[in-house]
Amino acid sequence: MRKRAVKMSCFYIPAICLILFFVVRPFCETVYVSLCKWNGYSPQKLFIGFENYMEMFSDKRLLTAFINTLIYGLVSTVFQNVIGLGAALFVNSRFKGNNLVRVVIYMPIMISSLIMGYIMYFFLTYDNGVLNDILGAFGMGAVDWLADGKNGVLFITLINTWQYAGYCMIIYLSGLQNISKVYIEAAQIDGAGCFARFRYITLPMLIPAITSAVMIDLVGGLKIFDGIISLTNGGPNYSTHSMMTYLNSQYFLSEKAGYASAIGITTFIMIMAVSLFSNRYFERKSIDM
Amino acid sequence: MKRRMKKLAAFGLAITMTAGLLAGCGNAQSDGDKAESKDSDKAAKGDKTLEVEVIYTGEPLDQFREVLDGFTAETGIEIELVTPGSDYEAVMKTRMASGEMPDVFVTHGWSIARYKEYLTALNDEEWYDRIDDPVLPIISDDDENIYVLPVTQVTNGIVYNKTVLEKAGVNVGDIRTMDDFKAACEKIKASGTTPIFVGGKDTWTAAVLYNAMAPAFYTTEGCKYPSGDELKDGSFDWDTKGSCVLEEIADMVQAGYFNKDLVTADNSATLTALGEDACGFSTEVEIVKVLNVAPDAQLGIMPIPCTTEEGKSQYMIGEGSCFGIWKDTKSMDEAKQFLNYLSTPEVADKIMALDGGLPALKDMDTENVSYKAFSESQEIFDGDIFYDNLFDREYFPSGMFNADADAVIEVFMDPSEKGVRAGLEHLKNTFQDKYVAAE
Repeated sequence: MRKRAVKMSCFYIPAICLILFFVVRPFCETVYVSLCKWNGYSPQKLFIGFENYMEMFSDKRLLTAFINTLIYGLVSTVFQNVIGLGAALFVNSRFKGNNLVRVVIYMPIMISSLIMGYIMYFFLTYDNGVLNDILGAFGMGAVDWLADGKNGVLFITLINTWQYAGYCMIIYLSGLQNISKVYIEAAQIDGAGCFARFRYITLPMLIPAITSAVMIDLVGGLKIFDGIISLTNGGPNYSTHSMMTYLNSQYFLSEKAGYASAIGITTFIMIMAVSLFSNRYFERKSIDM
Repeated sequence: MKRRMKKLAAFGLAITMTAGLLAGCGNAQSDGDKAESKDSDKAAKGDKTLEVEVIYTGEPLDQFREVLDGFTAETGIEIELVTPGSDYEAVMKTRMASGEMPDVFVTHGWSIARYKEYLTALNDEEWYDRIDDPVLPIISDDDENIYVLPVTQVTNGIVYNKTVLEKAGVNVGDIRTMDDFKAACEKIKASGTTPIFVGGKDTWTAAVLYNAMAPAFYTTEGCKYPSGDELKDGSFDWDTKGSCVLEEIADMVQAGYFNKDLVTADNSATLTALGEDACGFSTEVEIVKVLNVAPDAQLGIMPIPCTTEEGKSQYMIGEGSCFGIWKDTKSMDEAKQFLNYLSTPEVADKIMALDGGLPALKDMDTENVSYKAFSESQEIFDGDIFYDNLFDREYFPSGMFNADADAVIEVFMDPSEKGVRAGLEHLKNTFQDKYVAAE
């Protein structure tokens, strides 16, 4: 038995090698760079200890990016899952045009986030923007929708929600289709109403699907990048940056590779902590139910 | 037996994958080994291949591909073209960090300040004597070595729409000072058109605005606060002289001279606005790019007006399409052959046509749109033009460009004293930080 386990363990080697070369090694290098003052391309790196990490505490723009990241991650996740679950329940019932509805809800995910950002930019732009043209048709004045960072954050969150809600729908749909009708029918016989059936049968049995959908959305939301670049480019005045886009601007535009690496390490720890916490929470829920 | 075979096959596959991975990821190879494997790849293809990285996108890129096809047809040398588009600078920085540069690449204004350590000196090339006299100092280091073939030069000034100015009753020749410029803006605004358009979503456009206005205060002949040497040696006093450019921009924002969406419009909106007679001036566009959008637009270019009556107007001349050779390339002869090809007048003219710059070699065509507009302005401002290198390349340490953008965007968002102070802090802190780092 032990011999067989050793043999089977050999199959891990390619994956371990991949992780070592493409995750562990760059991560260690990034940790070292985060302790240096470096412009990102010159051969000289100046070791400065934890100065980059200290600088993060006094960087107001980073604080904005941090708050935005939480909004993009958490708020998008909540909305995507609520909408995704609602849509899944809706399309799980039999009606004419069911497949068409599924396709329409799922379709936005087939467009890359970058392209989606550009499409939405043309909707929201001040001059000749679709939204302003509609306002104009009703005799109303044009609005520079993205001039206020708060609006920008709202639009990015909504667009992200809309784009990925279809993905949640598919996950929940597969979860719903795995629930045996026997339970529902038994509950119906016992006189359980629509809400009670959902609360005490459907929802508990969907916990594995909820775990998958939440984790995927959460990590995706916390790492959001291309949609921001194409819609607002992090502006105006850094007000819509996420941690990832801010990191990019610090590394390549401000030539502060050390500082950007420190942000990267911190973001990594943040995402890992949120993911572990969420995973534990859902595991506990799964056992409780 | 069958099961045993399956096991053997599975182990074999695992070992092959692992070995392949180690071979692929290993970096213990010496440079020589790497070069050998690269050369053997090329030999396998049967031709020499040069990796060329350029900044062009869209139609200019298609035109450049035609130029490359001509080179391959003439020499048999294949070109592997790399075109990162708007990520060009980020990609080049990454490649510098990894020590793996393309054989030939465009230096976009940084041949000396950023790329010199990675480039081959090219003083002995046959085209050296054909370099236009005003271009030579811009691309030479302190030892008078050059590292690029300059095919075109860029001219930073103010592009204007003739139709808009005419309608507003503005004579471009009368704009000699910043006050004249603001008076012209006032007339354009009164005529119902936006005087100056900025596509601030692309933050580089804000940096370009700063770098266009700063010389009028600090470095142009006869300017208000001559500070070129202080800026170069790092002793510039930001507290007493640092805010004047931002204050001027703030005044213009408050006067309503910019487009309303100046922080959310992108650069393509500027091209459209200038091409469709919807704005008077822009510091961020090239005439050729506007004409690609609006072929019938009537455009001109003028130098940046000075801050004093006695001061001169200024054009900043910088590197346009300049091609350098990586000093460690294994295809040095082919790379030099490529540069020789690009330097031939007919090919150089094609490159000038695609990038919209001015000729940087003596025997090039001078009938293109950009050159005509530039010559026209030289006639209008005859005797009143001061020529210098691009402001940030000449007077700021590398890495300041983003701080210029940040400072101007602060002022765009809040043109009060508070916004100016916030912008000044970005400039001052980054200047000191980058200057110390450069030391």
